[in-house]
Amino acid sequence: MKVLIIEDRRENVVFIANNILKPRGYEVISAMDGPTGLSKAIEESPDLLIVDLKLPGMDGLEVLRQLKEQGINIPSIIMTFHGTEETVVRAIRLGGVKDYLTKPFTVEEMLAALDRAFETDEKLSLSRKSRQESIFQNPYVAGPPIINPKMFYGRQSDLKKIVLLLTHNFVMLVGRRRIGKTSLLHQLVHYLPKLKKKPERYIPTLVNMEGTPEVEFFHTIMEEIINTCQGHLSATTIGNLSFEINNVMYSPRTFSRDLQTILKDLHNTIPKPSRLVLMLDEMDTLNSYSLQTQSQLRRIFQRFANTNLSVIVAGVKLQKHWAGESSPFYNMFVPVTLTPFPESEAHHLITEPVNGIYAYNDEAIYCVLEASLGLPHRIQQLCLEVINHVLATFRGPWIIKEDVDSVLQTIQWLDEEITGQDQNLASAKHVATLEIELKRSREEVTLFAQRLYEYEKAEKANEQALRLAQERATKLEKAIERAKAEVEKLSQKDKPLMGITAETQVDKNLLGELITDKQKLQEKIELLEQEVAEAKQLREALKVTNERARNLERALNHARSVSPQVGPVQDDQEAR
Amino acid sequence: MINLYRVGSWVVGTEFYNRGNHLPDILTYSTVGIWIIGNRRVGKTSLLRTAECQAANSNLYLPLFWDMQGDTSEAQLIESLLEAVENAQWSEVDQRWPSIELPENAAGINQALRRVTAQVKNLYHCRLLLLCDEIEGLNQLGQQEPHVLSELRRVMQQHPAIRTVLTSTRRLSRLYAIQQQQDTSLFLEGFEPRYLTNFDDETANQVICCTQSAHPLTVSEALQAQIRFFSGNHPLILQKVCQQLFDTSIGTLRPFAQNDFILDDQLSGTFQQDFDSLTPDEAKLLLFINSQEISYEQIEQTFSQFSQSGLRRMLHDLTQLGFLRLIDNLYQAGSIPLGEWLAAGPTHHTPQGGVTNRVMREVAQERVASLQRQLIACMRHLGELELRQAKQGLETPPHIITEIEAYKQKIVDIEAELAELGENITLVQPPQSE
Repeated sequence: MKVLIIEDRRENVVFIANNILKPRGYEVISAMDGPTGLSKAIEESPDLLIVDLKLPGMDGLEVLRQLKEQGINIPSIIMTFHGTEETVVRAIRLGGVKDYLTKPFTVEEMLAALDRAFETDEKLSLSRKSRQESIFQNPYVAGPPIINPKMFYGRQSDLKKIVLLLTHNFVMLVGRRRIGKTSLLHQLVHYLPKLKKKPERYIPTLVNMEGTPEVEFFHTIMEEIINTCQGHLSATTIGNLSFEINNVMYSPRTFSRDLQTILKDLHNTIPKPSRLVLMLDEMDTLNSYSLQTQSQLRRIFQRFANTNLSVIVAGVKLQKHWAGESSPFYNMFVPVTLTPFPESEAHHLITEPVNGIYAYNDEAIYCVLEASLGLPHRIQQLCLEVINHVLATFRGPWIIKEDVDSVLQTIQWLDEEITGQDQNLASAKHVATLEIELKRSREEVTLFAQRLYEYEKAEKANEQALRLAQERATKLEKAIERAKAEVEKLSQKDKPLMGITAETQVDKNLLGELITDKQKLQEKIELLEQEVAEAKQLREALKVTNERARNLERALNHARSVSPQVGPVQDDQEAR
Repeated sequence: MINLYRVGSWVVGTEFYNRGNHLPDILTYSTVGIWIIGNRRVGKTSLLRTAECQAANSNLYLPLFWDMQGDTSEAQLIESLLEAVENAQWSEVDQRWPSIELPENAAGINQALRRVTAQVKNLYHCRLLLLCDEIEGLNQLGQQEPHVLSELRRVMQQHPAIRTVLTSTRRLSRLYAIQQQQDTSLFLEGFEPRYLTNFDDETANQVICCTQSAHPLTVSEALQAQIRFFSGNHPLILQKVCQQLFDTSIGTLRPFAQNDFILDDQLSGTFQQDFDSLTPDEAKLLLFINSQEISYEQIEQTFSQFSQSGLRRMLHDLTQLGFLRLIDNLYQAGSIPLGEWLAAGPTHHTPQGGVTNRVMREVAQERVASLQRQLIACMRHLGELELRQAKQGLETPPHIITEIEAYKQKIVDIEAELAELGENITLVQPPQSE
């Protein structure tokens, strides 16, 4: 496999080549600027491009664009800096971009990107082979959670965040309904056992608590733990457990005892100790339980806090209610909130499942993005309907805005009941953006005003100095004229004597000094004039910024009046 | 590289950082029990767990960590005691526990404790060090089964072979009021109260740099100071901030930006719980200070109805508990997030527990009065400035114009807040009977 790295910083090229690619058997070629990178990509036909977006000569985006124009489609990973997401989105839209990395990135992140690049490429070639069959299929999943990792897009940063937290903390996964909590837990089930480099082996256990009666709570959890860990436990350990499958009367103390036995055995597994990652989904169920059960569960979790047990609980309103005297159940967890997809991930989710089979044009993509508000389930639902629509009309593989529009006219969102919230959230975001902009603008106004004040204070002194300097310049001019005449006169006198007298020399020196003085004065005058001009410019800038601030305020008031429920007093954490 | 900071769960060993004299006080040989009072997530459990480790295998004590979370009846207390003994047997913190038999089928909590203590005394000739965590459930026990609380008091305070250390939030102090209505000795009177405060600066720096870990971090002094100021050295906030700033790619903390940190539900919930443990007067005082910086004189002026000593005691308590801090003789919220939470306005806080609608209304009314005073002052200044502007016309210096704009804006802001408070005051009014 040949990989071309186009990056202008030599140390980065050396790092990626020596630490990541070469040890894994990849052949590496490199280019330090855009044009060289482009020609190497054409001549050498690499299997993968790793491109920095900022390059001398021609930026990474242009390299990709020119390759596309020439009909060359090489899978690529782009490297970028934080805050250039817009460019990333444009690059992704060009097609062929499999992943992007924000600098600085770790070896693990680059490896994961490589895996994805080659995996999707493999998937693409497979799907191309079976395109004839695939064209009649609809790959989007609307409704059930995404269990197949190959159909899971986005949320990579959330996955990494959770993995980094797991060893030292208990995690609480929160987010609105259908935001993808369950799908993420399913992905963790696939992802965690693959982390070979960790000092412990992860054994994920996912339990869906929805509808579990309180009396069966601990029994249900233990049943799932035993099912998952069975292959890792010794027969003696299993024999020592008090758990009985048919007896749901299972006390918290017995649960705690059995859990202790299991964890002890897992800690001694070979070749490395195992960590049980207990993932409890739909834990809102807990809100309906007695405080006693909630307290007992907290006590058990607290007890195993520093052992080889990690806990992830997921729910919508887990932390909202607590009427007990002692510590609330939720406050021992680190909250990780799932939010709607950022544009780049949403774009990926729209296009990738049908990459090589169907192609959305830009307008259609914008339309899906706008209607879905970045909510992954909405994207999937809308795209599913769009593909169904295209299949029904027996059209070609191109998906256009009209297809999306036509679906939008009839679609019944699965989350209809929270549409108001979505719009509220969007309005709140809009208001918040305007507020930030207004704040910045006001700060600018203050800054300009302060600077202007300083300038104006100096301006009067400058004007005075300028006037004095000009007067002095006139006087100097006259003195120079006089001195010149004097020198001339003396030179005439000296001529017959064939030499210059000391008197003439003194006058010549004086003339030289006067000319230097004049030059200096001239420079000073220019400087003063420049400062006066700057003050004028600043006044203009202040006027413009003031006007901008006023416009922003008007926009903000308008935004607030459009959605009056979105105000600064709104007691909604998400909106805030 | 693993993120070394812990948010939420307790710590021991190298992850536990110095907490003043509390550990020596717990571990010293004494007959007097201790009641450690601290807000939520301040490190009470970690302190007890560390004490458990340090007292292990000693000649003075056999430590028992007893988590009483949610225990509100005698039956629950017995169950949790059995669980505590079982845990001690399994955890191997102290090798002596496996020889102690479980006090199964005891007639009451008193008997169960006595049985354990007798074994400790006979087998190891030392005393039982009871480390009781999460004991707020005793409030309910005191109401429902007062005789059990009396028995518990007797065995915990008077048994010669038991030393008891309690940890709880301020909520437990309601027990005084509960027991005063009954004809019994006050449970808490036999314990020496101590506050578990936020970290001191030195300890906070150690936590930020993970100095006790195998791989300490190099963090600039400026960043340390920034984190300390932001978190007010509150263990949870401090670790949360550090956890968020920890950058795996560089193996240390990246620079701090205030927008990095949002007031999440965990923190809001913790603040709410702590806030609910305050008395109405304390809550009123805290809401008045809000996110401002206020001198003692200003507070005294506003709260003239309180005696000077009472006010000073309240301020002291609130400072000890981390609700407030004193910088350059000015009181302010204990941390930036707490200030933000308080500044979100009284209506954001559901009136629960100690904070009543009345307090909310009073605080809002005081704020209204204060805002009205500010409004009058602003208008007067604005009038003076506008007069100068009129006199000087085009010659008006730009700073005067800027000041006029600033005052106008301030007036708009005050009026907006007044309007909002007006609505909120109406909102918290109790419903009128028809």
